[in-house]
Amino acid sequence: MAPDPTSGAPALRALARRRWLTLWTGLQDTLRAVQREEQAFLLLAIFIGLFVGLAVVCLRIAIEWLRITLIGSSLQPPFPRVILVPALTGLAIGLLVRYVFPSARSSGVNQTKSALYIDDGHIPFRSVVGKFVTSALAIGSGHSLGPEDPSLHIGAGVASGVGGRLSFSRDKVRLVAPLGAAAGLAAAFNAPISAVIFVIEEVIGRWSVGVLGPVILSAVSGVVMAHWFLGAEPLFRVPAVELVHPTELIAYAALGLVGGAAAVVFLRLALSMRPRLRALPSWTWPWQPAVAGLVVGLVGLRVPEVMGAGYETIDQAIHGQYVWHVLALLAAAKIVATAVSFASGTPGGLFAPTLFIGAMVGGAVGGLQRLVYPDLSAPIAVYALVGMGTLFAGILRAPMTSVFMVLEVTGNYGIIVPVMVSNTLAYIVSRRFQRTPLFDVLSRQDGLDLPSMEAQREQVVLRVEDAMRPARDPVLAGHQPVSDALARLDASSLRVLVYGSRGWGGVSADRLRRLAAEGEDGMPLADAVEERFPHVHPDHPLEIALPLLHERPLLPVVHRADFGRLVGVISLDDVLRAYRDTGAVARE
Amino acid sequence: MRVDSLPLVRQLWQDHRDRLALAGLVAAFLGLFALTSALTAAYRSKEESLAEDWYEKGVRALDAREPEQAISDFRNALAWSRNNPAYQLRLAQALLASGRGEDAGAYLLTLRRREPGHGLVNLELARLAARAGHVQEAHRYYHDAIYGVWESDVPSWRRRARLELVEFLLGQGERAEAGAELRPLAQDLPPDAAAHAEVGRLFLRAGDPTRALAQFKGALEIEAGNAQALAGATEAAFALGRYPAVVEYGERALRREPRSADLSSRVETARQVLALDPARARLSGAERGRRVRRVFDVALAELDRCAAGATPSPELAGLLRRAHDLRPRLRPPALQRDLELREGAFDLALEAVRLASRACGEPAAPAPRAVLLLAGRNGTGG
Repeated sequence: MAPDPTSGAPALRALARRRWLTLWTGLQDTLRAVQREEQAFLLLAIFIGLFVGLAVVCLRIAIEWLRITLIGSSLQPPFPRVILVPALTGLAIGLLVRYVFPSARSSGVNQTKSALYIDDGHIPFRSVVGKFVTSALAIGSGHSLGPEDPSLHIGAGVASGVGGRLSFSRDKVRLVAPLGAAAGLAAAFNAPISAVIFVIEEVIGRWSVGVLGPVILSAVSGVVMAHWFLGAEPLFRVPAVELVHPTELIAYAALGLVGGAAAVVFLRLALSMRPRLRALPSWTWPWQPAVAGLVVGLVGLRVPEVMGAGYETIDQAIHGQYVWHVLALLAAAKIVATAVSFASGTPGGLFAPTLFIGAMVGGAVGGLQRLVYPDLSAPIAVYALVGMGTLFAGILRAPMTSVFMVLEVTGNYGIIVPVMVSNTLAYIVSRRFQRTPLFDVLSRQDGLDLPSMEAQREQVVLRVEDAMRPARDPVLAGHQPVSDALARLDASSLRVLVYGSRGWGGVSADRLRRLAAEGEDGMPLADAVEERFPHVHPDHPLEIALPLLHERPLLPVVHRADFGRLVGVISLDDVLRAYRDTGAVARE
Repeated sequence: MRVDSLPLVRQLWQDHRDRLALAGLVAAFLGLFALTSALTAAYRSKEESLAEDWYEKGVRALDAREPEQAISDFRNALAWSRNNPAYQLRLAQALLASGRGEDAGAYLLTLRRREPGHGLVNLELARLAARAGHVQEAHRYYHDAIYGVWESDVPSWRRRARLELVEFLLGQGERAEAGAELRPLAQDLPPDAAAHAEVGRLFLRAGDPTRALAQFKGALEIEAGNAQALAGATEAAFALGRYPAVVEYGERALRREPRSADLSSRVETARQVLALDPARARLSGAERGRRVRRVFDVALAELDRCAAGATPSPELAGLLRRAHDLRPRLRPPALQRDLELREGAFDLALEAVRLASRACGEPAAPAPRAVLLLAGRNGTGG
C-alpha cells in the first residue's frame, strides 16, 4: 500500500505553509485595502472641500443678489420696503419651511451631529436645497441671521451626497458630513483653522490623525474655492493693534464679564422664546417668520445696521466709526432682532450675529472705559475685536474656536492675550448662568439626544491612582529563593509578588508551601512564578486597566521611571469602587 | 442591443470603479466650477455698476456741498466695493467736509497704511493734522504729499501741497522755514501770472521782499495788467525802499483798483519820500536846503502834535525846545550855504519824528510817514 501523500510530516508542513501563505496574502490584501481606503478618503476630502466651497460661494452670491433685489443697494433701506420685505419674505420662508423643507429649520451643527451619531452620515439632499433657498431668502431680505451655519449645513449635506454614494467603511461614511461642515464653515468665514477646530470641538469631539487629516484637507479646499471667487483677504480689515501695557488686561477682563452677561441675556431670550413659539398651534408656524420679519423691519427702520449679517457694520465699528452709546444701542437692537429671527424658526445662523453683538459690546465697553479712564491707550477697534471673541465664547461656548476665530477673521495676532482673558471670563459667566450649551438645548428642543461636546470635554477621567491601594502581599525580587518568600508570608497573604527580568508575576502561598515540601525551597522565585502580571502606571486611565484585569486578580501599579518600584496594586473591585465613589457609574 | 450592453456597462463599472468615480467627480467639479464662475462674473459686474452709481452720486453731492448726502452715498459705494481706495478717499473727503475729522482720519490712515506715498492721502492727512494743530505730523504729511505719488497733474498738486505747507508754517510764525520751502517752489513755477503773484505774496509774508518783487515782476512779464501782481510789486518795492518803483507800480495798480486805500497811502507816501528826500542825486544846493526845511517843518509839526496830546517826556520836551530854537536860523540862504546847518537840521528832524513815533505811535499822514521812512533809511538814533 502506497503511503498517503496527504499524511505524514511533509504533508502537514505543506498544509501549514499553504495556510500561512493564505493568511499572509489575506493580511497584505487587507492592509492594501485599508491603505487604499485611507488614500481614497483623503482624495474624497479634497473633492468635498471643492464642491462645498463652490456651494458656499453660490450661497453668498445668492444672498447678496437677493438683498439687492429685495431691499435695494443702499445701506439704509427705504421705507416701506424696510418693513414689508422682511415680513413678506418671512411669510414665504414660513410656508416653505412648513410645507416643503421642514428640515431646513434646524441648526446646521445639530444636523451634522445627527448625521454623525444617528443617521450613519446621511443628510437628505432636500434639506440642503431647503437650507440654501430659505436661508438666502432670510438673510437677503434682512432677517438678523448669518450665512455661516447654513454654509456648514449645506457643506455637510453636499458631502453626504458626494461621499455617501461611494463604498467606504461605515466609520468613514459617518465622517463625511463633518468634513463638509468644516469646508462649509471655512469657506464662509475664510477661516480654515477655526473651522477645523470648531468641527472637532463641537461636532466630532475627538482629535486623531485619522480625523484631522481629512478635515484639514477639506477645510483648506473649501477656502481655496472661496478665495478663488470671493478674494483672499480676511473677513474684516483691521488696523494693526497690540496690547500696550499689561494693566490694560483689567479692562479686557471687564469686557469679558460684560460680554458674558450679554451672551446670557441673548441665550435666555432666544432659547426661552423658541419652544414657546413652537408650542403655538401649527397654523401659526408659517406666520412666525413673517412676524419676526416685521419686528426686524421695525427695528431696522431706526437701526438699519441690524439687518442681515451685518459685516459692514462690524467693519465700521472696528474702524471706530461709532461712539460708545451708538455701539451699545446697536448691540441691544441686534440681540432683540436676532433672538426674534432665530426663535421664529427662520433658517439662518448665529455666528455672524454673535460677532456683530460682540463687536458692538466690545466697542461700547471700550468707549465707556476710555471715558472713565482716558489713560487707556488701546483704540476702540481692539475692544471691538476682543468683543467678537468674547461673545463667541459666551454664546457658542466653543472656547478654542473663539480664540482662533478672532485671530483668523481679522488676520491680527497682536491681541491674543486680551482675547484669551476676555473669552475665558465670558465662558465662565455664560456657564454659570446658562448651564446647558446652545447646541445641546437646541437638539433637546428638536427632540434629539445628541452627545454634548461640552459634557464630553469636561467628563472626569478616572485614573489608576484613583482606584489603587497599597499592596498587602509581600514583594520580593526574582532572584530570591522560595524560602525567603515563605518567611515573609503571613496568615492573610494569598501570594507573593515577584519582580524579575521578565517583569511582574505572582506565586500563590499554596505553591510556595508545596515547593518547600518538595525540597525546592532554594528555587529562585522567578522560576516559581505561576502567573505574569502586566503592570500599569498611576496616571493611566482606568479604561486601560480594565481589560488587563480580565481573569487576573490584580495588576501591579509601578513607577514610570523605575518599573521595579511598586506604587500599589489594583483589582477589579478597586476599579468598581472608584467608579461608584465618583458617581461615574450612576451617570453612565 | 440595450439588453446586451447592460452587463458590459456593469462589468466596465466593476473593473474601473475607482477611476470612473474619480472621473465623474472631476467632471462634476469642472461643470460646477464653470457655472459658479459665470455666476460670480455676473455678480461682480452688478456690484461694480452699483458701486459706480453710488460713487457718482456721492461726487455730485460733494460738488454740490452736501457732505452728509455724499457720506451716505460713498458708504453705499463702499458697501459694494469695500476696498476701492478712490471711494475711501472720497468718503474721507466728505467726512472732512462735514467736520468729522476723526472719522476721516481713520479712513485716511487706513489708506496711508496701504499706500504710504499716496500724495492726496498725505495731503488730506496733513490738512487734518494742521487743523488739529499737530505741527510735527502736519509737517511730515505735507512733505510726504510733496514728494508722494500723484495720479495726474503732478507738478500742480505738488505745488499746491507746498503752498499749503508754506501757509501752515506762516500761520505758525515759522517765517524762515516758510521762506526755505518757497525758494524751490519759485524756481519751478509754470508761466502763470497768478501762480507767480501768489508765491510773491507768500515771500512778502515770509519777510523776503526781494524775492517777492522778483516774483511779481515775473507775473507782470506774463500779464502786464495783473492787479494782484501790481499791488504786490508796490508793496514789495515799498518794503525795499524803492520809491520810484512804488510810484510806478502803484499808479498802475491804482488804475485797476482805484478804491484801494492801502495802495493810495503807499503811493502818496512814496511820492512824499521822493519829494522830501534831500539826498537824492542831481539836486542843487538850494533845492536840498528847501527840502531840509520842509522835512524840518513836518517833523516839528509831528513833534508838536505829539507833545500836545499828553504830558511830554523830558526827552521830548528837550528836543522840542531845541527844534524851536533852531527853526529861526533855518532860512534858505543859510541852508544853501551852510552844509553843517543843513545836516544838523535834517538830523534833528529825523530824531524828532522817530521820538514822536515812539511816544505817540506811527503817523498816519503821508508826509510824516515819509519823514519817518527817511529816518529809517538813514538809520541813526532810534
